[in-house]
Amino acid sequence: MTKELLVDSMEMIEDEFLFEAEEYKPVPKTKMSAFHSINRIAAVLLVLPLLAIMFILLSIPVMAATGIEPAYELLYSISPEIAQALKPINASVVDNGIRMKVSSIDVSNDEAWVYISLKDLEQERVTESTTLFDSYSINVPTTFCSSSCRAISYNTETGEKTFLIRLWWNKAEGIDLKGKKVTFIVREFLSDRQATDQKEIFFPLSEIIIDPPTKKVHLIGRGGNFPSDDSIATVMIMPESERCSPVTGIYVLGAGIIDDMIHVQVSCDNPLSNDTNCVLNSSKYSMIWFNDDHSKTYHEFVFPVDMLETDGFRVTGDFWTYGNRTEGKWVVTFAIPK
Amino acid sequence: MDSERILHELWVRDEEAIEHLALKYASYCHKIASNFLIHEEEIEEVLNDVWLGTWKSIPPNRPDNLKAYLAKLTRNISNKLYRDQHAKKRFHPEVSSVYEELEECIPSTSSLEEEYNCRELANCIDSFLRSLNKEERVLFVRRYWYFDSITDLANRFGFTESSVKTKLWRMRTRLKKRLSEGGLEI
Repeated sequence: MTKELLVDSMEMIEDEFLFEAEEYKPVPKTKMSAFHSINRIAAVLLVLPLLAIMFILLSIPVMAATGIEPAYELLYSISPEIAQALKPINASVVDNGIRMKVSSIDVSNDEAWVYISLKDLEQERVTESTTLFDSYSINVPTTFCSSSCRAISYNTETGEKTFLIRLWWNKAEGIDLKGKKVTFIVREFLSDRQATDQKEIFFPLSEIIIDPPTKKVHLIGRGGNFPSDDSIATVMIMPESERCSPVTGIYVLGAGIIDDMIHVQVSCDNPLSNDTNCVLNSSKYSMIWFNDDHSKTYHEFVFPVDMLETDGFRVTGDFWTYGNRTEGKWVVTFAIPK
Repeated sequence: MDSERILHELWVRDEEAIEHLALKYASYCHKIASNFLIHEEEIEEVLNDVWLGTWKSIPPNRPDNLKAYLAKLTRNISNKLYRDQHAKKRFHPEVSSVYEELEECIPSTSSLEEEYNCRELANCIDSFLRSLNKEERVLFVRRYWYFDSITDLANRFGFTESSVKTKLWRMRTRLKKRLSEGGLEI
């Protein structure tokens, strides 16, 4: 344990050493002496790749400024500030028959609200239930800025869905987004939400398996008061025949009792593409894992055994999925008003 | 939002302090945690624990420097999580290297726990750090406090990776000597 003691002791060193390490800027090393000591061929071999790199580096901003997306994305990963400064303003874009545009921008001292609308010009793929899921990016010129995006309204007459992007920054720290450009990128969206809320599921006593067979799985998520930090957990092996399907693609597989806890297992098809998901109420904790090809998630909800009633186990839950997935690339860039 | 204001919010139990902490220090603490942990969800878990730990510990604590306080808390929580993972054979290989390197500093016949507690050892390391020049000291702290990778250090300082390794090795040898001279050897 001595190395652990050294690591722990390092934690207690004087704050001044931390500040010094934070703020230290190395003195640039002179390359001249090394340069003179190598021969001409080596110098040429050194200079040519450098020139090629410089050419590429100089080309990237030019390509980014002319709207070439891969160049912009590369530059954004290197320098968000330069990438955003060079990005041309573009308040409206149409792709795959869907128009995305910046409707309006409100700004206060250290916060901005940007209203973005989405409208289907050809079909009816944008609906009241349309969600951007997690397929959007908000590119800002500084990492010291927070942002969020949420759907706020749907106009049934115009068929426009409006999203609100909220940006906030810390002016006291010298951060100010006013006058700077922000880019909003959407790659796909979901619509046609099919959901059942507060659906009651009942398991008669005869169908609750005592000490069902179990297996170990690698969890991708845990909820509630999960009893361990381990991501390997023991879950039930349920029969393939599902008990019921509250929503297309969601199957309640069964219930069992393990160590005086009631376990209920549910599977969800296409969770990554259709956001298929479920929540059962009043569980003590829950576990989520993927099948082998990630086409399904399995959820196991665990309840105290005292929730068992005389005739069986009753639980309510919310289940949802999205029927339509629309892909495209919608990119708008706007400046935050001063 | 300056740190004094956030400290005041913590002190008067204003819950907005948590949001302000995250806004101001999330990227800083994220960088520290990401040197210990591989998975983003674990890093997020650490950050949540840092905000909660700060909320619970201020008051009664009133740190002179909130940033350093958060840095230490982040390192501490990340390091604990790393050790749990190490026990389960799921760990960050770079952190494991740092541990192995520090093991080299331990005098061969010494059992540090028997001789020193953490505070005394930290004093000894403080004294060792003061004996280094600024560049060496920063290199040492970046590697063994922040757990920066050799590649990151080489990029930051403009050295080759091999040069970084050599410099660190020399400093570890000096620390080992100092720990022996400091009466640690039994």
